[in-house]
Amino acid sequence: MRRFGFQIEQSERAGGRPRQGIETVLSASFGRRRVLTGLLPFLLTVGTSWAAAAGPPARIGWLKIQGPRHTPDQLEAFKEGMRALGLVEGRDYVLEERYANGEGARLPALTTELLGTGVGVIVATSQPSIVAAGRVTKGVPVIGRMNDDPVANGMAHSLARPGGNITGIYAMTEQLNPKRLALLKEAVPSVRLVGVLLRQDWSNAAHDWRVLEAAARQLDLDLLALNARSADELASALELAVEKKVGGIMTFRNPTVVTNLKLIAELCLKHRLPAVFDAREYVEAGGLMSYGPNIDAIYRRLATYVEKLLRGARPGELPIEQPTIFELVLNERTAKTIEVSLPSSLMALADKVIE
Amino acid sequence: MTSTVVPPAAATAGTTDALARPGGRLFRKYAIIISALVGAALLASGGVALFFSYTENRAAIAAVQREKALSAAGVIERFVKEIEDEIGWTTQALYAPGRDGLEQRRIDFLRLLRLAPAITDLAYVDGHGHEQLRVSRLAMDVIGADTDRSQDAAVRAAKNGQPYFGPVYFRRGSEPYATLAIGGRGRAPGVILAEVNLKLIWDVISRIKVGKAGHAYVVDGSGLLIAHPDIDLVLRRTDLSKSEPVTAAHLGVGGAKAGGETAIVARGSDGHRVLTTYAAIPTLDWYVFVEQPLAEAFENIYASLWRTSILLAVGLAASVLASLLLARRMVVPIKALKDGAASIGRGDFDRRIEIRTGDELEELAGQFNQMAGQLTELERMTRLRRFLAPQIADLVSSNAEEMLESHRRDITVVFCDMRGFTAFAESAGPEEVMSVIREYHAALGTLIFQYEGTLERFVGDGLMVLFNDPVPCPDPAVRAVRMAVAMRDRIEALSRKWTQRGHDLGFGIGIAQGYATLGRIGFEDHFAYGSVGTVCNLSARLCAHALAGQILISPQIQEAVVAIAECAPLGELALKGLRRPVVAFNVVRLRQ
Repeated sequence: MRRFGFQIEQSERAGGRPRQGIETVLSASFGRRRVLTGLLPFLLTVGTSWAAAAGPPARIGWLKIQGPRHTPDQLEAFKEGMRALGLVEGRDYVLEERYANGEGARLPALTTELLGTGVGVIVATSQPSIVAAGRVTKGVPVIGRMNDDPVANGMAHSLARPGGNITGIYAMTEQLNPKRLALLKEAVPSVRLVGVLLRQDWSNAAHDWRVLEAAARQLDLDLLALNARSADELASALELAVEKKVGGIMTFRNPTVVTNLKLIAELCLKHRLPAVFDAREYVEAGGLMSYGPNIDAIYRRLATYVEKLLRGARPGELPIEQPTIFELVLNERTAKTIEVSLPSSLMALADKVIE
Repeated sequence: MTSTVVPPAAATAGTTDALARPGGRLFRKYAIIISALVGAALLASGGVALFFSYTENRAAIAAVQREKALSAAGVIERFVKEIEDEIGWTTQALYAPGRDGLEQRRIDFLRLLRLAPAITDLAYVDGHGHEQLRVSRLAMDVIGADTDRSQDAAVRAAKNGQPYFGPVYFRRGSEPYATLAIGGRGRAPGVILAEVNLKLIWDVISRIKVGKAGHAYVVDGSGLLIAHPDIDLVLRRTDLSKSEPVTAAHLGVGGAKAGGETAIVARGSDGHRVLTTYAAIPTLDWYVFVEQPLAEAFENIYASLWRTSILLAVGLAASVLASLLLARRMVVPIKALKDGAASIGRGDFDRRIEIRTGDELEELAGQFNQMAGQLTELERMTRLRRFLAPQIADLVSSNAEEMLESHRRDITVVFCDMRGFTAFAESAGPEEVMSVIREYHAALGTLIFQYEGTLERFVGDGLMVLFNDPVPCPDPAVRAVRMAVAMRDRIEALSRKWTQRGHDLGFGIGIAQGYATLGRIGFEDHFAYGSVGTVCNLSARLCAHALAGQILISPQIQEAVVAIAECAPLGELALKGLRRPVVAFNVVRLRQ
């Protein structure tokens, strides 16, 4: 209403100079400028009222367990996805970013903080953030990239109809572990013992271990569990791996691993350990190879969820999608450094080879 | 009479009736009839045009939509065909027997996965129906599992040589998949099974644009949604078998028709009314539906409907206007006729009806005017009759007016007046004078008519009557004398009455015969039939000379009436204005 009052005042000022208007008709360019000055408040009024009619931009929460500098491409990919849908940051939406900087325990508090700003939807970037946000709010939609099976862990009734306030894309990370193991063996056929970086206290660790063990048996491989809950423990775990003469490294996705992805890649390089990861970011940081869905593509895709939710869709009705494209990324430089000769058949299949 | 004529302007003002006024009976009738005729013609032609434009447009839109559906079906078919072709070359290749061959085949399969993003899993089943190789994007490759799959529908179907596309199934109840099986030939009789992720048709289907808001979608033979621009509908495993478009297409009921020849209007997947058509992909038993919001599809029809309606409305308005004008054109002269007739009826015979329509109405007005002219004449005649002697009036009214033209004729003139009238008129009161005059004229008038004399004039108590003109008669003198005698008798009776009232009034008559000039005399409208000649003077002088009760006649008259009247000669009389003395006789009485 205040703005409305302002408008009236403006238009009165705009319209309150009829005489000047007549003068301008009679006289030349001097008068034309006066018309513009007279019109300007009016145009401004029209402009502001039009913007007001479009409504305030939607508020979107961005919740991440790591810090803002960790994999910033994900946020960029999300914004890119929004842009592709015609949604412009600042005009159509504003982002409220909250980062736990590696402290998973802060995630519920950050979620509450986000809800306090009045966000209409929370984009939770990874499994821990989804779990935390999903626990704090049952009303505000939470979307994100799910690493674990959302039906198995009870987040959704089914992929087709999640039913709750959580939906997003199931990245099938854990499901692909056997495939990764097989790819590692294909890259390094001589491997016999594979070290698995994991957190024994992490929810899916036991399940994932059992699945991987079965795969290892088929591939005639042995596994070595390398438990690590921090950067320091990661370092010692990899030292242990070297000590145990493991022929390759695999990771289970957990916050310690994700947060320290660069460290792991560097340590593997340093210890000349061929490693297979679930995302290309590791390979870009010096890891040997990765196999998994394109994570940036997932974030781009998540923008469509946000758009649908902003248009009033119910999260429980938005099916949880699965990625269709999985990419094999190889780092040839790392291969050379750690003296692994990648088979040409594998090279031919790679979606991307970093030289 | 002229003074009673109502001025024409006042007449019109007085007769503002219901005729020509808009809303008048005739006007209304004509206006309604003409508007109805023109309007009906317009409506009929507009309606027919609308109907045909609607059906043609609809057919055209349906044809366009069907083209879209067919092209969409082609696109979808190509999508599957490409996958088939890509798998095809691995069936053509020859692999070494045993493990090496399988390894080689595995690499080819992995390459195939790179080439065909829609394929998630590939399996090779050997000629005996045993699965020897399985490659997946999601799982480890399995070599030499040797599981028996010979009873799989896909394997059995593909062994017949034709590519087999299995029914759609949903992985984990969400992602749509179908099995594509292609059998090898000749020396490599195995079957390749590919699990195709149908979600990737989205790329294809979402690119198919039908107008601005229209789209295409694909259902399988049982009405299950396979592809839709809104991927969520597919992932939610939407069953459209009960939806209007799909039921209308009769899918699954005894096989679908070859393809929707016509577009139907149905409630679309989002509940709005849409125009929809479909095209079948027989090889897959899939159906590509194309739908467009009705409002958009029929945009042009609605626009043309609107245009035609506006034109129709304008045409109707114009026709009503035209019919009003036309009715007015017809009614105004009729009203003029009516007004004119009314004026004439009221006696305004000078009124002329002015109609310049150049048609029967003008003729009718002409006849009206002619009739009014005749009426004027008749009226004039009626008026004239009162002033003219009946004989003259008859001649005038019988158009024998030429008889009134100037001519000379031997006539008998009777002149009479009262004795002592001047003195009486001076002494008596005007009422009494008029009363006497009235009785006197009444008495003489009937006699003049009776003897068929022509009353030439009367001035006060003096009367002049002609015989043998304008209507000739065989015995003018005899008639004149008989009339004169009758007059004398009548006035004698009257004068006895007058004497009782104290008036001393006598009556004298003079009759002469001779040639006179007769004809119309006077000026402008004041014409009279008059006679000029000595005979007139003579009769007047004889009358003047006559004593009360005397009838003086000239010798010619005496000769003529000698058989019927006893006349006493009076000798020669010296009459004023006459050079020679005149022999005169007094009619004593008529012989019995």
